[in-house]
Amino acid sequence: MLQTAFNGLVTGVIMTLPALAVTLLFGVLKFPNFAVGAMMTVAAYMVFALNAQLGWPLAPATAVVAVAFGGLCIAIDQLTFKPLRGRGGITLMVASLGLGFVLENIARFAYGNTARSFAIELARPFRFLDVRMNREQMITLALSALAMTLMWLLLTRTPVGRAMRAVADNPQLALVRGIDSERIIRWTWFITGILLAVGGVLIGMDRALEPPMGSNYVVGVFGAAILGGLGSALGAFAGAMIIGVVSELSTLVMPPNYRIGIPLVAIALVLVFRPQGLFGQPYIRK
Amino acid sequence: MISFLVLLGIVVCFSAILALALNFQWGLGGMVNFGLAGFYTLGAYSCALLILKGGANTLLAALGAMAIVAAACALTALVTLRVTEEDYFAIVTLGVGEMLRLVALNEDWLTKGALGLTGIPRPLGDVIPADVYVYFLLGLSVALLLGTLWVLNVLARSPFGRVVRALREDDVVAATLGKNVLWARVRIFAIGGAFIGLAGSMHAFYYQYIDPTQFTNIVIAYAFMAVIAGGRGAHAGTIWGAAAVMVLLEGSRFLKDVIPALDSDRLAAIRIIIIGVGLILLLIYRPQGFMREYRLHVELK
Amino acid sequence: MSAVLSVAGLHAGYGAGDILKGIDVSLDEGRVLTIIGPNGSGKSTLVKTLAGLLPARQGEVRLAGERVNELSPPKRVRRGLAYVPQEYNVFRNLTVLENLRIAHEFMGGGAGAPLPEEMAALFPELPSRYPALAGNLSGGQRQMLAFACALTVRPKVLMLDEPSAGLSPLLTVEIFRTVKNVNAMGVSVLMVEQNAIEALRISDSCVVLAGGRVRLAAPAAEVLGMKDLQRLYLGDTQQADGQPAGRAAA
Repeated sequence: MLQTAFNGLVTGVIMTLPALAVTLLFGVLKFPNFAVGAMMTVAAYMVFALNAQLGWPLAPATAVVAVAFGGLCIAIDQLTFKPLRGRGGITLMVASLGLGFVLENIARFAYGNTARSFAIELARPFRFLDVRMNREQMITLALSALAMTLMWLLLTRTPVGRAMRAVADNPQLALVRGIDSERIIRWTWFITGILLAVGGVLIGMDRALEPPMGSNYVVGVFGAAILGGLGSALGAFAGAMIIGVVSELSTLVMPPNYRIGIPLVAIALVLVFRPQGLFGQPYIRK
Repeated sequence: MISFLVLLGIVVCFSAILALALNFQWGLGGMVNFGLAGFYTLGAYSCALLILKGGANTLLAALGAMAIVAAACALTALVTLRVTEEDYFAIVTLGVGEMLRLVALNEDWLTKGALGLTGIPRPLGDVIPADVYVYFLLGLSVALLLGTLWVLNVLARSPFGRVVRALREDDVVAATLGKNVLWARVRIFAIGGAFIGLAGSMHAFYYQYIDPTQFTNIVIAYAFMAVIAGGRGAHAGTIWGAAAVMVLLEGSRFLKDVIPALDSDRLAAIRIIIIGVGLILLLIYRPQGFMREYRLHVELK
Repeated sequence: MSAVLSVAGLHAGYGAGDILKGIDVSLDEGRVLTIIGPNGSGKSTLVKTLAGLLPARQGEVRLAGERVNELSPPKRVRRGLAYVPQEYNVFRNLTVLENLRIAHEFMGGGAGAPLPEEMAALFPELPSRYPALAGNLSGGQRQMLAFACALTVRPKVLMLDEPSAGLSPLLTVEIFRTVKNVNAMGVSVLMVEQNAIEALRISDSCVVLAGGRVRLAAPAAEVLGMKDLQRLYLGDTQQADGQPAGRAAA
């Protein structure tokens, strides 16, 4: 039971980064972006290329890809979503769905359907308090904690972060307060790209690398973001942890293939009882 | 060549019905169904199982499938009754669709999982001689397509349809009228669901063998493209859109002959990339958008 | 006295038709101009267009002699054209301090910014409420915060859309006093107001807008003295003697 809870903790932590990405994108761009799963997949494969094919150690490979992927996301936005700015939410959602297909299948085209893994040294798992943990999980926890701290600092202590929150709060007011919305959107994509790249690597370490690896997390990640409250970074974290732990614990009583039901139930509960989620913005203006 | 065209025609017909169902739920009801693939799966499997395990004949099985999918859609819509915001609805339908496909994949005792179900009979398959059967099936498919078109148009024209359309334009009115509107939306989603079930049944009859891999998200992409490509106007646009998309995509199977270096996995991947890019391009360059209105008459040619 | 803000032949609208049908307005440097008119006359649309939130379909807008038609709202702000919208004029989910910091960071601050002492004199209530969420402030406090943000850098022109909307008579007096103080600092003010009497009392000139066109442009004192005008254009609840009968909801 404790083991399952720990695994849930790790799952939750893995989901936090993409949940943060989802919530940031929703706040600034005002629509749910279904391509985030496939974006994680592509980034993970990019790291795979550097790591397993070119022999780079995982850490520098991730760092380089993360920054490159941030830039790539900006480019993708310019090509795909920028021409659609101002169109309705559904248009953007469908575009993101299409983008997701394209990205996932680029990965499939390049690497086929067989599962791959990163080239990392095998380390023996160790036991702590009767719970088996391995080195990858420790790295995951540490890396995510670092990423979350940096995100929090960014959002609360830097002008860019404040501007992102301002645009999420009131895009028109942000304009007349001198905030250039396109610039902020580019920054948001850059940061989101980094979050998704690292998230993809964490998934690749936890499970295997295969084309649907990221898309499998889409419903869960959105469930986490909605549970926590779309637009709230703290909510993304809380939502991800809750969904992660509950999903793992649910395998004790339910067949594991239906874990996806947990975020669905969470979304249903949120919609019925508290649409703004746990930490959703108290003042919402559509 | 002729038989290829006939077979293509049949596929176009049930793909068009699927697109029309999506158009109905979305264009009239304002509810975008990202779980389309899952409900389509439900329709096909329900029909197949009703025949193979329930012993029903093809007609009853198809009707049963329609009822089942309609019920599933109604249930889904009910959950989001309180919050009709399109973002949440999209995510919920996405999730429900995923769940349905997972059930098809995992519940081996019912669906034979990844192995799929074989030996699905075709309507009147015993009665009509084999060499003309495909023409019959084509005729039947076209008839069903026209029937779907007629029913959906009648519904859109009815007082029920007009009310929902008017309310979709004006949220404030919708809010004051409260429950009635929401129930109307549930009904619309359910009716669309029934036709998804019909398309699924036709799919099962056509291929005579179904497995989970047939129902991946490409289905959604096809349907969305058809709906978008069809543009504003009567459903007829959607049908032509579906035809165009289907022809392009089925035709692209010939890529394999042209580029022998690609294996089937890679080829499948390229096709999906083309669909995805096509979808995005359509969205960018089709400024009419999605709020297609149901014209009060059907223009067929 | 040169015009710091001049508008010539302005047309703008949201949909098919134009709401503004050829507007000419001129604000002299250091002055206060109030625009009045019945509901639906296009007052808010005018200010939004000047701020750059709505494109000008025809006509020209010049700030300190420079044409600004092509500039996006952030660029106009940095040139010195500040705007306080009527509603949703603060970032509700951010704290008071964060609201002010954003204004300082993005509106092109620097040498011209008012000194902290000046700000403290104008907005004494704010510092004590720095950590509070802007959404938790009362209506009057939010309005003050919105002003303070717009003034964080010393703009050439401050545009206010119904600053007294939804405020009690006491707060209304305070708001207009603040506007006058701001003007005394050298900021030219363009105000759209429903509460015409109070606004005109602190204004130098007045423009009456109706049906998207300018019906009258005259010194404020002159307009205050017009009895017929009062009944027609200064709000539904004016009595014949010019005393406001009580403020109707905006």
